[in-house]
Amino acid sequence: MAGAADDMALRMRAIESLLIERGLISEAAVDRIASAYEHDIGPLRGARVVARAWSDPQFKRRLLADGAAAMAELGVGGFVAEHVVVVENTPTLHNMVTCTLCSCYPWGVLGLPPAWYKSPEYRSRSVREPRAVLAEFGVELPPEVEVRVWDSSAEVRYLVLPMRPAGSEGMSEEQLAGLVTRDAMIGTGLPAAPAPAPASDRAGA
Amino acid sequence: MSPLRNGPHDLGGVAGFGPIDPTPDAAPYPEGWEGRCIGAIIATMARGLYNVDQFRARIEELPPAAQFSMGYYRRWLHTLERNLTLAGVLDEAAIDARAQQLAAPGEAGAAASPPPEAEPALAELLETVETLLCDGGPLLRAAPAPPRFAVGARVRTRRIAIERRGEQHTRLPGYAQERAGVVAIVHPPMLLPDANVGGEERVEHLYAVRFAADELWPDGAPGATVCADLFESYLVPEEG
Repeated sequence: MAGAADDMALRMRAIESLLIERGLISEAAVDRIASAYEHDIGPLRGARVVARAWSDPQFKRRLLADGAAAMAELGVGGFVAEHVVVVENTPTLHNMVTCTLCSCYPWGVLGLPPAWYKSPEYRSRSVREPRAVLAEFGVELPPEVEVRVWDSSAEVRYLVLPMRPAGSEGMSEEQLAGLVTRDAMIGTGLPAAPAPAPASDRAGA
Repeated sequence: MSPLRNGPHDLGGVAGFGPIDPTPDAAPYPEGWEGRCIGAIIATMARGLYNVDQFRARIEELPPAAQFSMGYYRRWLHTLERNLTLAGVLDEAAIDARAQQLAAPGEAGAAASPPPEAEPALAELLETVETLLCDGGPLLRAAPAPPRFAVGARVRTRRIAIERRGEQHTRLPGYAQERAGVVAIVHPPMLLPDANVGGEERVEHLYAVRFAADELWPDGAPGATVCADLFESYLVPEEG
């Protein structure tokens, strides 16, 4: 059952060719989907959403009120992101997303889930010992911060809105998007720190 | 091990798993075939051959050893094959025979082509796929009645035992059964997975229910919370 990669590839080809011959699917439909998740739909989408929320308080309000509707303004969403709840990190609350029953993940916002998200280690431990899990990702939070884990047990999908990092004042939306990591939007990471300004800029300030 | 687990997929809070390996994935489709599998699954679901809860249930039917050794997309290939078999469009013998054929020397490049009479349906499928990728599927449903619970309501979860994995299905995680929590969000109504797995479309209200970690586990950290999305029939009002 745990067959070799070649056997799996062969079995997949057999199923696809039978389905095509029977007129149930087309190669073009499979190509379109496979290519979309390989090339087009990935964490950059979510990063654009977060950067906009950091830059535009009105957008952030709309995003927290109705995630999917606000993200649609940026052309983000679609399959497995039909109803998205955006949960905001604050100095007293850290959100983290998991799916203990399978591996539900906001595909339309972040693309394909990473291997660790689908692992039994993450699925079992994320709900029970989130701080130990965060430590394995290099995230240490002050003890007074509430850690809230969202188990995606239905078709609602969750996206974490991380806190805007200190030192990012004055950065453009595009520059901000560069700080937003995928893990920060799952809640197992924090946004990257902005690179310090070059010495010449500091001298002029 | 929690006595409430409904099968090897019901992993929340299960002890004994080691550290998480956060190594980034080498490629979206490390073995090359995974993209075809995702594509075939989305396309066959778009054709209405099975639904998302049937997709999940036929992963859950796998025996424990297989659950852990197969890996994510191998489980997907399993549920694809099983659901197509149950839908009566493919069977193991046909797949075995075709695989043998494709493995024969000189056959690797042979491409399948659809019957001409299928062309209109396949053109429609391509449009459906495009719409799915851009706008998503028909997830939200009209409410059958006003929601029974409001934000802040205290609720208790029921026990939902799965006796026949693969046929029965629930999205009430074992760790969150027979526990007290508070409604944090009233979501839009959606299809009840427990009925949808049998092809019955029953719409129910859905709630994010927040549990204190020390309500869920004896070693739950004070102040930590877990929210799970639970359907109305999973819940009863908490007395007192």
